[in-house]
Amino acid sequence: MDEILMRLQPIFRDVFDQKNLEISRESNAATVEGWDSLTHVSLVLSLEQEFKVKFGLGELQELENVGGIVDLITRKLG
Amino acid sequence: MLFSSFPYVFCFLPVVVLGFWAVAKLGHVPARWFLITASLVFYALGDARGIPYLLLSALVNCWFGVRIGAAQQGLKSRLLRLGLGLNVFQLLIVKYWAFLVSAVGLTPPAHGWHVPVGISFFTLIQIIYLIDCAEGLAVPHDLRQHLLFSSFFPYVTMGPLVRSRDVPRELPTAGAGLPADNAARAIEFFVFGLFKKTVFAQSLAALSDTGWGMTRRLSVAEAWLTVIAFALELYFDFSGYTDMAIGSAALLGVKLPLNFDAPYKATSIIMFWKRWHITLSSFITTYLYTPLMRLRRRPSFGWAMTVTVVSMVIAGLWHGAAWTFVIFGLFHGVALVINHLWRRAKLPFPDFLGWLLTFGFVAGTLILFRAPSVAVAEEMVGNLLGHGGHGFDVDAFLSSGLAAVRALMALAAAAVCLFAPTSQAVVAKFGASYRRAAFIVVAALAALVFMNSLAAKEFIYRDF
Repeated sequence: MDEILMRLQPIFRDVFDQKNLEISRESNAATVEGWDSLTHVSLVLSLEQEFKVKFGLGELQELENVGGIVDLITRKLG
Repeated sequence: MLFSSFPYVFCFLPVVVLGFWAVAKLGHVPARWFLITASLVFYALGDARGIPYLLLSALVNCWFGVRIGAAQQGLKSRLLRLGLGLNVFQLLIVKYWAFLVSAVGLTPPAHGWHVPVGISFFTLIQIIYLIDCAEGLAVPHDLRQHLLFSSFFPYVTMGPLVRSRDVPRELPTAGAGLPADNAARAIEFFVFGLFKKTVFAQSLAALSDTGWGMTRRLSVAEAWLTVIAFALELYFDFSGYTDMAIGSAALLGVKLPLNFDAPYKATSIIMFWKRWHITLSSFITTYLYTPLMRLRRRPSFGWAMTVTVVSMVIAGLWHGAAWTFVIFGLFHGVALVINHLWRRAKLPFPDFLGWLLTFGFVAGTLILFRAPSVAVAEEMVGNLLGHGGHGFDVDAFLSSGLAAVRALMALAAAAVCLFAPTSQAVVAKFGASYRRAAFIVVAALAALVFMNSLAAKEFIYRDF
């Protein structure tokens, strides 16, 4: 699970265009500057490419914080 | 039947809640049929002609849900496309036929289709359900489950938009009962909603309706007052309705999603759409914006902005078959693009200025929501800019009685939506105390007094 979090770090920095961004499981749209519907979809598309997974449309609303993203990717890879 | 009416508050809701918990002791099946019957009665009291339509939509989508859930991949996606196509097609035909015909320059038929109440809401709910079935996120409903899911009275006419997981597959049965503090929270939600609608929204409506009734004669100040009053009215009308829906459902043990989160405190248009009609914004982002974005392997910023504008125009049109709604969506799409460009450039923007601009923009574009035609909207904009008349005599407003009380309530409403916590924030801090009980009782009594003294007005979103 930690490994997934580590792989998320550079993706977040790239998508949100913040070189020093540090994320944790608790990070969410309120704590990460610029996390809006637009960047959310860019993030999802980047995650799909990085982890070679495909999220269902109905799953996108579950990805509201980093912890939720890690859990869902873990489920998809498992 | 209005949520904010005596028959609902003193007859329908108590009978259904007490009846449901009594019948629930007999088991799932009678409890579910009881709620289905109550929901269909509720719907029929508002629009009896729409009942066959609502039932047909529920049956057809129930069949699709089961088939999609059982099908292999190739067939699954074909069935999903067919099911989604049918839902969109029937909405286009029933709600937009006359608009589409006149848009291509033909004369629409004199007698159009009957547009069932809540069609825009219950069609979107079916669309979400079919996609959830195809993605394995919902176990297909049996007929009973789907009839209740499709017709549940707290949300059938005006949302919030729900997913299969929001309505429990197994209703509470014997012994479960409704915990007392859950019931108290539900009643608080309902009372806040009732207060918002009867005291705030209807007081604001007295102002805005007076202004909108004489758009040819408004002075600059009156025009601004009318426009701001309508923006506040729409918020208290719709969020009041939603609070009552959430409270009603909670009394039956069902937790509905939130729809508003202090939208008029937003300091940007992006923030506004995260807080206004949240379940619709979420639908647009998830089921319209994302699939359009996925059409490109690596969507550029330009593509994202194009998709934003297209999504907002469709969202505008969802509200009603008129050019005013198309233009409303277009304005908001363009505003979002400007907001995104500003963010991308990492330019600062003072919060107060952001708030002023956002509220001003929203209130200004809501002229298109309220105006019966683009021409009348233009007239109102002219008034705002000082091209209007010399002002109306205030007699029409004053003679309607209670003018001072209404004006005071309108001011209080403005203060509440800017400074007070949201209903959900207050309910979340629930704790039994005399002070709190007194507060709720006073709010309920005030709501009832206003309910009695003012002509009941339909919820604005009921027409969408």
